[in-house]
Amino acid sequence: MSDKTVTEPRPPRQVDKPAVLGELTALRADVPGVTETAVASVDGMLIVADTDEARPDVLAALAATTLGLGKSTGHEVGMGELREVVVRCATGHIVVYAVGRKALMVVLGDEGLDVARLHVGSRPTVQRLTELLEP
Amino acid sequence: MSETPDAARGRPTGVLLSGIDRRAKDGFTGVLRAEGPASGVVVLREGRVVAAATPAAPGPESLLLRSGRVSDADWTAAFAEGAPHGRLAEALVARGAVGSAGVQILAATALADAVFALALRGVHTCAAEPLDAAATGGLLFLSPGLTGDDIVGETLRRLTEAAEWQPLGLTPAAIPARASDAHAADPVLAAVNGRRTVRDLAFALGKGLFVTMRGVADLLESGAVTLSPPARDAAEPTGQPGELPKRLRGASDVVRVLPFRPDR
Repeated sequence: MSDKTVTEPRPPRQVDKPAVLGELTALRADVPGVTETAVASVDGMLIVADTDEARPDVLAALAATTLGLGKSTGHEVGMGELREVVVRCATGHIVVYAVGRKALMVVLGDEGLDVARLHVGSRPTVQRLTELLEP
Repeated sequence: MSETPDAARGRPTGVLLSGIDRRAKDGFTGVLRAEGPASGVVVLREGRVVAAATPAAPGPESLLLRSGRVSDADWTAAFAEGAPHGRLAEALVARGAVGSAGVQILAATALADAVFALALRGVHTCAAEPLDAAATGGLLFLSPGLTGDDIVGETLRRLTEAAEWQPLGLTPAAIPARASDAHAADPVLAAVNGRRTVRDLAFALGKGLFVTMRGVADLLESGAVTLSPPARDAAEPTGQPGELPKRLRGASDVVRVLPFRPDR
């Protein structure tokens, strides 16, 4: 008799999308300047979006690329774990946060977005999203 | 009996306006850093208020770029040239992007709007700091600046008008929604999408917060929009840990111009 144990494949876990969406809408309400948000897997698959003008699927894919690039750059220069990637454009901001090991949150904001306040306000959100996505 | 709003009566009592009033009278040169539901800075030079900025109201960059009055290329070039030396206004004029009178009007508009936005949201603390050219170089400075009495008087006048909108539920955090799907010729109405707050509309349009609030008030009066309360008003404490600083009751200067409510 073999002493190997056979592990049953785990069924795909259902994400509590209403709860994730609740976190996104609460962040938009709490931080002035936040306009749109989305949560995606690190390989760019959209999970939940609270968007208006942005195309959610495209945003998810590009945010994953942005996060990956940020992680690689941080690793290359030896600056430790990535906190977030901030992109500032003429009329707004794009901020991508790692959510646990397998997901990300992308936040779009106008040019008046208080980035420092967003970083403070988004930490509990990222924490709760991590618990929702990786229980 | 109600307390009649009167901007000219007495000295301001709110944290922000009393701070500006006192420092202006002292001939202060430096920065007043305001903290509250919205943070911001007010810059004074020899007692005159020369600039103010806050994420709660569009600054000169938004007012110029969003309205299309200045191209992105001109702004970027003028910023690179003037901001490191605190001479953004001069650089914009030198490039012909804005006239010398126009840049002063713009600086005064942005200044008054920022102070109004901060006073309306409420300020918890207002700390004086030395003038840091590197930190304030990107601001558009008004020359020679407004007196303390001028900016306090103008802000109280605006707060008085904003107090009249408060019973309608019109605040910077309120979310207007269109009453019908008909084509909107009014630019403010056209920008209303049921998600943007009044503050967001100001940024989207490249208009001042006060002007945008007045525009929404007109739309409310005509029945073109309705207001939803904020999804979660940052002014109201929820008791959950780790959240943003909340507005303290009485911290806002707006209480000075509201009718007296004996039940409160």
